[in-house]
Amino acid sequence: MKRFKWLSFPYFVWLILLVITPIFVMLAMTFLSMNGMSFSKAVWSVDSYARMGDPAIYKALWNSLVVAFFTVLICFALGYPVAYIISFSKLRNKMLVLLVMILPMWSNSMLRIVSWLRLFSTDGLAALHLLGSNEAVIFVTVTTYLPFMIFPIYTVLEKMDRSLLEASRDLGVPAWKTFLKVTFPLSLGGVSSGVIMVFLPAATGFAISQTIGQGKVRLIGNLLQSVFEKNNYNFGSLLSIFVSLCIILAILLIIGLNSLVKKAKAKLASSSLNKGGNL
Amino acid sequence: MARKILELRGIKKTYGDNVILNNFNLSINENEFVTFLGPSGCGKTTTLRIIGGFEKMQEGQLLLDGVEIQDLPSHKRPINTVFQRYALFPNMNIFDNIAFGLRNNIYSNVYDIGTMNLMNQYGYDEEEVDALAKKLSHIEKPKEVKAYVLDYFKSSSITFKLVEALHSLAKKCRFKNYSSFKEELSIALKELSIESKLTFAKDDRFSFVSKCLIGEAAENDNAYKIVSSISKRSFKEEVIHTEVLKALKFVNLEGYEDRDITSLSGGQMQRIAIARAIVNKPRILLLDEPLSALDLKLRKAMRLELREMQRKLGITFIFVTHDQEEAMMMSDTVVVMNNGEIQQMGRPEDIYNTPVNRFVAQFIGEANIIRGVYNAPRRFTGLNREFKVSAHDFRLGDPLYAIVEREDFDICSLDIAKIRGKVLSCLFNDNKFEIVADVNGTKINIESDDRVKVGEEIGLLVAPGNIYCEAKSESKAKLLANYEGGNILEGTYLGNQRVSFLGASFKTYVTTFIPGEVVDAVIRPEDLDLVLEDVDKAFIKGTVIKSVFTGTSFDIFVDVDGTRLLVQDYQNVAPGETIGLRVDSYEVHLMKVGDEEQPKEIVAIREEGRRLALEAEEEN
Repeated sequence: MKRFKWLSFPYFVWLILLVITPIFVMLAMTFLSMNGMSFSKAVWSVDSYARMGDPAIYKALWNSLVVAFFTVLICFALGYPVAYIISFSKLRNKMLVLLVMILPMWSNSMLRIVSWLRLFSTDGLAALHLLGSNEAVIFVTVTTYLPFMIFPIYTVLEKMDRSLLEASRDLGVPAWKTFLKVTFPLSLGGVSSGVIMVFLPAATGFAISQTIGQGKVRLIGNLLQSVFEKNNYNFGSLLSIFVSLCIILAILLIIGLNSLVKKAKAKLASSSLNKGGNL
Repeated sequence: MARKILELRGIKKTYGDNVILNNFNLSINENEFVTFLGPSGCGKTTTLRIIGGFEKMQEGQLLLDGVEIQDLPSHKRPINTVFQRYALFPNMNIFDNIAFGLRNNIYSNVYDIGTMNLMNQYGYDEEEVDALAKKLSHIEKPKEVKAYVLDYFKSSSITFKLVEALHSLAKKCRFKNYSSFKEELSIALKELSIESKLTFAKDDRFSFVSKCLIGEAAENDNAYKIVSSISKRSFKEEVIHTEVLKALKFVNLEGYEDRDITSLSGGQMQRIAIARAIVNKPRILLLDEPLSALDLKLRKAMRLELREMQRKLGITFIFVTHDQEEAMMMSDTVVVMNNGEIQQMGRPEDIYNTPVNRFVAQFIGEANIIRGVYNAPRRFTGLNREFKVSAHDFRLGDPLYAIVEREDFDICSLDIAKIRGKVLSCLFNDNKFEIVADVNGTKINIESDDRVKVGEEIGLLVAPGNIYCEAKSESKAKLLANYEGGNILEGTYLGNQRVSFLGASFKTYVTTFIPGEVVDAVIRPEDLDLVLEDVDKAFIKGTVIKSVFTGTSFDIFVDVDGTRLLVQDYQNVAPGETIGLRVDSYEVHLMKVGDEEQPKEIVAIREEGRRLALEAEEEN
């Protein structure tokens, strides 16, 4: 492997030029005040930070998290059974079924969103007044990102050693308990990558909320977009960094909670055994 | 060894048009190490999976202790499996892996095991423990087992009786102090024959007195202690903890319980897989090529260890392998399989020494197989030479295969040699030289202590007793009958699958004899079952001459009207006792007997047959 190390060089150049440098530029821009990207007329300022007190930011952020949370929940509830059924079916061509599932993704996502907009505003559906509601935004987000949940779960289930299930059966464990104790815990890797892959775009996207939400559903993405549209790159940078930090924090929180639960479980088990030892 | 635990009858298994097993019959004895040996695709793993309940068969019966279990799901069978790649749960540590069955089985026998442990701890006598264990084995749900056990011990506990008596006393009248209920109490105690050493003051209250009395009674009341242990909420987890540690100790991995599965080596994973299976106390352990994933050195060590484990546990192991060395080293019984059929079944040494057909010989010993003809009585022609052989039950002109083991060829000087060959290769392996020689265009494998030069011409000798002959179309009867140590009884074939010997008529599976033909009936000692009750109804009756304990079972010699039979059984029978014997039809093997012992008519029919066969041969 060492011989091919140099092959990763282009990627590192790419990473430094297009990811790491911009982050530092953005960080610097939060302390400047200027019009658009005209660095020549920039002056030092903390105006951007003063604007962070606006409650509209936090409302939009909260709304984004709510929309993303329900999107993930629904995607999981719909996606897990589908992945499970396809993986454990005796179909000869599972890949074909999966291809059919992602068929809509072959068309442009903007087109799909606009077609939902048209559908929601035609006769019968228009009467339901779906446009402009959180629910409609969540629905369209789910239809857009569902495959991102199905694929990683399907992959881990497919890779799972089937003899584990036989072993569980051999040890006298009924199927539902085997699912809870063996299959599901072992598929958690796929679930967590599915959750992240759906959560991130659902929380930060703005196209769906703008089109389907008709300006009534304001997510953090919409806020960011409007700030950049007004040529305020300084506040925009600060807001972007803030949103990224929030999301990183949320992910760390989930991981932290997970390990805490594990530790607590281990503690509980050992303490119950210590009690047993007193016999 | 007559105690059968598992029986497979007429099993048929197909995948689509592909027939894996067809009319497969096999019986397996208790406390034996049985190996299914065969090349891949021979049906050995399928058979194992049918026993384990992972595969459904199309036809046939599976009997455990004589009870059909083929419709039971795998979790209801007292059978556990060690999988080929171990199948340990990677999301759990070692302790949780081993505890998995005890914790999650809906028919978990945790309470059975826990109760037996407690009873042994408190010194209950074995008979009572066994009796209770038998009763509990019929109760399926752990909760019901728990309730039954609690009832059982409550009813035998003096403390619980005392509590009841005190309750009824308290209901009868209101007591103020000891002096007011002293007499009633002493009557009640006498009824329960409790002699209390406690003395109470006049103004002690009833609640205090009863508390003291209950405490005193409970102190020496084992049943009460058992009840209080079992009714504790943590009881199940405590039992699991003890059993898991016991299992870990058994597989020599003490102190590994908190480790992760991923931190283990192959050999350790193997042992954990065994521990996880045996902790459930199965009657039969199935092992599906468990050593194939290990390296050679470890594999050799694990063989001995597995064998040792089987002896210590005293349960039946059914082991599947394609490695003949493994099978030979570990097993009590080897079942050689090919194309879904049993080729030969017997002790390893019998299979090695007397393979019944070409397949077995080739699979077991890499023996030489020489094509030839049975051209004169006790003469075989092959390799352009005539050999003396011990076989005598073939027709003249029969095409044969002669099987000669590699080590049965002796290298000799050219002038006394029976056959001559040119050495093609000579390799040193396992302290022996493995030689391949070309004899008239046929390659012969030889094993020798001496080195020979490649290209050199060598002479070879082989003793008549070391040439095993097999007809090209062998009959099944002959295959099975070739079993050393069997009881050989002279009998007469009656026709219609019946044979008479020892003055009685028996059913047999053999159909290839002429009615009236004299035959030898062969019955293996372990296939004869003792009948101790209703002896008069048994077909064979005899008197025990002597009984010898051989380490695992008894060799019982029985005199039946002057004929001596050998019976192997786990039960002992006193000399002089009259007992009955029974044998199943598929365990009576018939062997051909030479012309000199046949009635004239049979000889005539045989000769006619031979003449026709010779004619047919010549026409070909």
